[in-house]
Amino acid sequence: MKRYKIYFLLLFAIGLTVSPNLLAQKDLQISKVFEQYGKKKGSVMVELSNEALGDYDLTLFKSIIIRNDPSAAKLTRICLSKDEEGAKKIKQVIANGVPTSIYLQLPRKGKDNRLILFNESRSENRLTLIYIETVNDSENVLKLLLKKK
Amino acid sequence: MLKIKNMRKRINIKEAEALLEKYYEGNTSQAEEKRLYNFLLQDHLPERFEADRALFGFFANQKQKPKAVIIPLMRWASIAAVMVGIMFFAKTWVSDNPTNIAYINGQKYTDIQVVKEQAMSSLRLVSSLDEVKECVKSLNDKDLIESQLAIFNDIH
Repeated sequence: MKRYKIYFLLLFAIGLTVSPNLLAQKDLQISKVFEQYGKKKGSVMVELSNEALGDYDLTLFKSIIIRNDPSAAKLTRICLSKDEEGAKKIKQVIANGVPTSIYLQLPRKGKDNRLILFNESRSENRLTLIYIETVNDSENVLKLLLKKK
Repeated sequence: MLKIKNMRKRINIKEAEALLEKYYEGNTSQAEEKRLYNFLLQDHLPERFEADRALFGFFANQKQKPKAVIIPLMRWASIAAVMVGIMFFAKTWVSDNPTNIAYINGQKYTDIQVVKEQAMSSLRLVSSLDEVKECVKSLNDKDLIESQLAIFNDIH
């Protein structure tokens, strides 16, 4: 019994050292979208952290583009509706009663500000979901990100 | 022969009973206790001595138990040191290995240029220049409320 307690403590210690970025994202419902559709055909998933995003001063950038998958769109909207709780809605565009564009500013996790950007194009059967973590001000980051193309 | 054996037992049994009485009163010497112990070790004793045999057997086991050598404090200190080491190593390894990866139609790409290019194209899809101005403005609470109320005005 003592041996098992020791193993448990060791595993717990290892778990605590897992990157805080992973922990910050894992509590969100949208992580399901990345997990389920990230490596599927018809999807493009990107994950960038720290070094590669030096120009943009972001801690974490994670995006997914899914084409021709209505079930993915449905899941994404459900996840967003749950992650919206407690979040600040920066922007929302609704077309025919369905949100097509949503920008959310999530509650801070430690020193990181967190943003979710969502866009759905029905005409092109495509949805785009982006998750960002940054230590900088959300306003400045959005200006920078969305102006640079 | 049997009579002699029985006489020996009887003699021993009587003496044993007397010693047991003395033992339970707490008046036996170490030598007497040892004689009593040796008597109870014999096989084929009457059943009434079973309880006494069990008692002496319990104490005997206790005497034979080896002393504990483990020092608990040292053990826990070494476990704590190992845990700290693991935490430090894992933290260093994770921070030195940032994730820069893209999956395109299930195919994995780690070339940083490819990954950045895909990231930029996803940003282009969620925005336009007009939207930048609009969303930055909406970060201000007052503007957000007004813009959301405007949706209802449009419906009416």
